[in-house]
Amino acid sequence: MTGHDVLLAFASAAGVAGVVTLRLAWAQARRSMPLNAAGWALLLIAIVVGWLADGAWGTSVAVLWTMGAAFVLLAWAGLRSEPGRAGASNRRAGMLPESGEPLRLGGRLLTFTLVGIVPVLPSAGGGLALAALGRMLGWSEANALALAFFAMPILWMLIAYAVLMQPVRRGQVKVLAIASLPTWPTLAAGLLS
Amino acid sequence: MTTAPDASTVKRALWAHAAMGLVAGALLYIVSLTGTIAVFYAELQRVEQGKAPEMTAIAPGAVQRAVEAALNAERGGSTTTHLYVHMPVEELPRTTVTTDTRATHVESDGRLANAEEIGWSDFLVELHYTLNLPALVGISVVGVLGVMMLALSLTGVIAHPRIFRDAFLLRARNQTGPGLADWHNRMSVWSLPFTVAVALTGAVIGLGSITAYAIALLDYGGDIEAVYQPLFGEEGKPDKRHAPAPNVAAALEYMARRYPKVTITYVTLHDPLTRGQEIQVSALHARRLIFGETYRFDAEGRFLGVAGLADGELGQQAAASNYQLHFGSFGGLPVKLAYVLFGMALTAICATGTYIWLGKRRRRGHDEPRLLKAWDAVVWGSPMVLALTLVARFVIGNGAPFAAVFWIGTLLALTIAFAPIAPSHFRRVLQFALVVSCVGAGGLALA
Repeated sequence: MTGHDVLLAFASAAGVAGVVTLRLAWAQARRSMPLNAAGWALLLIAIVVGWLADGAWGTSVAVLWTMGAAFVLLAWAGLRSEPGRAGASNRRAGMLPESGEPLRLGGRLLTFTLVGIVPVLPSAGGGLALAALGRMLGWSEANALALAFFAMPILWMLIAYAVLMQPVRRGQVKVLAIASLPTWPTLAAGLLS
Repeated sequence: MTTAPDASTVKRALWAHAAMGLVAGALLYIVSLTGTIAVFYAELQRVEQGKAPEMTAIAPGAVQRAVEAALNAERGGSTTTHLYVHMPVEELPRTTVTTDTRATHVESDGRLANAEEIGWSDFLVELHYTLNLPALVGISVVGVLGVMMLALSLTGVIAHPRIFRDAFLLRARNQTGPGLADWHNRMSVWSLPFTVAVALTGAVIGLGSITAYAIALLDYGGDIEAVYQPLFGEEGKPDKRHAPAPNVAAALEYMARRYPKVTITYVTLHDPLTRGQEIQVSALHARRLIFGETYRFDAEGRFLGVAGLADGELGQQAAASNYQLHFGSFGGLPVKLAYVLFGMALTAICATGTYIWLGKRRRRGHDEPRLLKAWDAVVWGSPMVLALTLVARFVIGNGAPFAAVFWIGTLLALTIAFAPIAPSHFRRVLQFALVVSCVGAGGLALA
């Protein structure tokens, strides 16, 4: 067993212990700050020690152990659950109209377009802007490009979230307009070069 | 002080969560389902085509003979632009030579053997990658689905303020709604790192073409290949004048001497039989997420350098780590089994989301049996039809029209959902058909 193996075993054990500690913490009638903090701290230790053991690979393995432990506890909770008829949540998502409400199909299609298609431009533009910023800071081309590739879908996700969180159409358009701001100087610089 | 979001934010996040889940739900379900099965892509190839030469290792001289034989077999047609040799590895102990037009297994002495016939395995991966749409459109659509999955994770956490506090509450035997919601929420919260990892890596892979196109247009004079070079390494300069076959054996012998600890996965020839040809050897490094380091050799098998995926720039290492992290191929069978478990959970999360929404509507007096049956057709029907494509593989053969069978079959199940059949009966029939088709496919695979 090498030093790496020992560290990785420790990281995985910390992840499992973190899940068990959180299970204990969240089972308390009242919130237990020390137990809560200990649980989260153990999860953080799992990530950090996993990284120290084998970099991203080590962290990935430690996190898989952590999730696996949580699923075992979940399975245990499921097996021990008793038949019940507790009332279900009826929070309305508001996706389809209730009786008498208009369907607003056009509006729904427009929302889909604003979330599923339009953000391709500001998110790609934002990715390019970040890459340009990286180059300005002296990053290598590979690092700048990788940042653009990873940033694009994350920016799209954030834009989609921000658009959907706006209750009125004007707010959605405003979000898209603001998100597009980094695109314009990048586009201009690219076209002029 | 509380960190919980206010009520209006929670309500809006729930709407956003439902909106994205309902619009993208069916495709997300199919992508999750196929991704879970495709974890065993290598093993499935062995099931699909049992009769192929297998070996734990192959000598450099034998690889050289196989390459020359494959290039000879191409004579008379246009010369292949690339030639790939899949080297025998633990999960797929086969040597296979692939050119632009054919793929052939190789005997351990380097003689060409039978043709590779893994049409179903490739269909499965294509369904996951592109939904069988034209490549660029399909992979971009799946990339957007990855973005939606990320956004669903974010809105799901915000829409459920008690999602962590209740993270171990699972009323599995409650039949009135909370049971289903508990399954959905608990699996979601505990598989969150996995979901974020596969969704982000999938989105980066899927939307990579669009990002590369934008970068190429603005910064690289429209040359998309040039965008990838700083990340994955460059190819030699093309020189189309004729040349003899490259010395692959020398490159592999060098690898055995200088890098005995790496696992060689592929040998790639760029522009073979031309003066511009180059040999690239891809090799896995133990305990790394990268899909491998690329070792470059000239046509004589002289070492030129590495691409830097293992120890080059951070961006190179990150880009090269995307694929194994997405497909769960970085830690042998234990990691694959973990990916199947969490992949099944993710597939179930996709399925239960719409059931929860339909249940809420029913409890508010909007009973929608046709919508419920349509969702049943997706959840139970699409895996049933997928199993039927495997049956078609063994009954019809490698050339069976898998994509047509899958999509027509799924559409048929959806159409039948609108017939006047009781929902409970419809679901039972689908579940029975799923079991029968899986048993049939499994039986044919073992036969």
